[in-house]
Amino acid sequence: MTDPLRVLIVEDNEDHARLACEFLQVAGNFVTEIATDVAELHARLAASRYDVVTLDYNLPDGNGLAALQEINARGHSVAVIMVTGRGDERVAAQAIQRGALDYVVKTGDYLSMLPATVQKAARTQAIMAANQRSLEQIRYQALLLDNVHDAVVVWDLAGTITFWNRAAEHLFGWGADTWLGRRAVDCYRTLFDPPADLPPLDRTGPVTTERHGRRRTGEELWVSSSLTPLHDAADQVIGYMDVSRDITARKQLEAQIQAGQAHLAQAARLAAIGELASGVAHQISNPLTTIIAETQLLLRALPASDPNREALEAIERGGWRAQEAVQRLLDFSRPASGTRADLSVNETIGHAVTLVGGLIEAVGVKLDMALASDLPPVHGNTRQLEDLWVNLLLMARDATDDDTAPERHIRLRSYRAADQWLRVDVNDDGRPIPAEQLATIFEPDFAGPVAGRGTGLELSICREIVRQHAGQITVDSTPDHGTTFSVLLPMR
Amino acid sequence: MSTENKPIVLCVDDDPRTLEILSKVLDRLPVEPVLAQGTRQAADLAQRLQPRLIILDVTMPEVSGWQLLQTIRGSHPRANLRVLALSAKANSAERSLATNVARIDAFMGKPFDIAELARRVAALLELPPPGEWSNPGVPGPAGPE
Repeated sequence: MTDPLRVLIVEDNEDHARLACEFLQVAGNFVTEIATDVAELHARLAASRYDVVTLDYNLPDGNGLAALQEINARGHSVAVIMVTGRGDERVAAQAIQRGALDYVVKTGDYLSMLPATVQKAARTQAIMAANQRSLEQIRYQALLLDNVHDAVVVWDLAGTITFWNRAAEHLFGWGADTWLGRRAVDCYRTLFDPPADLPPLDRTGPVTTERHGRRRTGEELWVSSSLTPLHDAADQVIGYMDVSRDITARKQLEAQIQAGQAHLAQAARLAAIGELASGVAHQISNPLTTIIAETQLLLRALPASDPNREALEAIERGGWRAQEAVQRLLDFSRPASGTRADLSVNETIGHAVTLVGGLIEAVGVKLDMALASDLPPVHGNTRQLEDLWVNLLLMARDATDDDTAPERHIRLRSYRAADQWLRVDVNDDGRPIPAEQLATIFEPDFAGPVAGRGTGLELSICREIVRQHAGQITVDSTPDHGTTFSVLLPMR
Repeated sequence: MSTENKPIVLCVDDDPRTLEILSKVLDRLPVEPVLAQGTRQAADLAQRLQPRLIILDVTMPEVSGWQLLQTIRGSHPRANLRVLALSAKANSAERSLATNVARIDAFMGKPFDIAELARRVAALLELPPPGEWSNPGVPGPAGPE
């Protein structure tokens, strides 16, 4: 059995009031009390909870409309039925406008209708209260969604966006007014890069993905999104909710760590190469000594016309080339001395040419030099710069090492470039560097020569030397103009 | 063969093939080559024969050539002992260590050009330049200074 409805009868005529009570008690599950004037009405409402008030219009200390207003003003949640005399229908209408749920007119049999009217008013009141609670609940949840840090986007089964919270405005830079009512698919294609379709969805649970995109401002954005189907009370899917969290900072950190690890791995590889080189150098030097020296001894024992001389000379050259490779590996791993001084770049070029000029001319390549005479000094490390030019020249030689070309040149030029820069160009007309290799040509390549030049490591050494001199190194390579490595160094 | 007139050149290397080559090159000079493959043997020979010149591989794996050199110098009364160091690590750091710290008279990378070796030996012993070697077949890259 449900709880009885508590009814307060406000009526100054005690006989009428008692009759009303009796009618109600006979008709059903009602608990009734009586108030005979407005003052008592308010006193009772303040003291107890009632479901329904039947309010007589004419009371000794005021009228029913004023009392109704006061009930509303005091915030009582109670259904009010206005009771008026015959011919007072205008009052009844006013009462409804001011919040009464119903009215009865005092006709001959009005008491017989009272229980049904009271019950209906109580029911209406209960529905309205439940409605009110639902609305408050919705407002509260909307407030929660607006205040979470994660962006929440909801769309219905037609794919139309129905909710876009404040965090979504903040995260994506687009306001709710832009996207509400538009298609979620279009929205996702705008936000994410590469354009994201909505992720596939099974009904068992949320689907989490990481997506890359851009804010409205164009800033890079990474989000971790969790897409969940929304169900109604009958467990039917009525839409989808996508909750996105900003993970840009984490992604950027990860990228930095990866780059750092790559750098560490590279440093570790270089160190390993250094150790390997030292170990291998000794083991290789003895057999190479045998190969070269014995060949030289044989060559000296043979007459100049001997047909075997050519083969022996090739063996000797091969030996020296192997030695050169070991030496470069050793050079690569040796620690650089830190001494820096004002130096003449042309002098370091001169030393380098003394070292390798013979090697270049030995393969039939002509070395043209044009060194400007008025260059100011550069602050730097003599040996490092010598290494730089030696490497660039030897690589140019490697590229021009082609016996079929009629005449091959390496052009070395030093001159004053714009502003405070001194520039050295090393140009060769040998095999050009393929365009797709130009972008990564300064990265160390442990697999071997890059575009037929060097051992794969020289250019990264060159870049490092130039970097330590606060300079820049660039490369340009076309079949028409050959390959030019340009080094810019700040002048003193 | 008289050892009275020819200066003794002690060759120290752990590689017998290198020793043989040194011997072949030195045979063409007016010197008396003596070969030592082990360091103990080298120290003994140095003390006993009082060589004018030691050709020494300073990058032998088991013992530091520099240590051996100190031992020999400690037991060598002659002030004019000359030393030619051979090194598989002929970079400028080694070169600098050899000439400045260890007071080596000459430093050559390994492998070496035999004509260059002959010239160096002749110069260190103040012998006439070995004319027979003056026309090398193929120049070596980054040739020893």
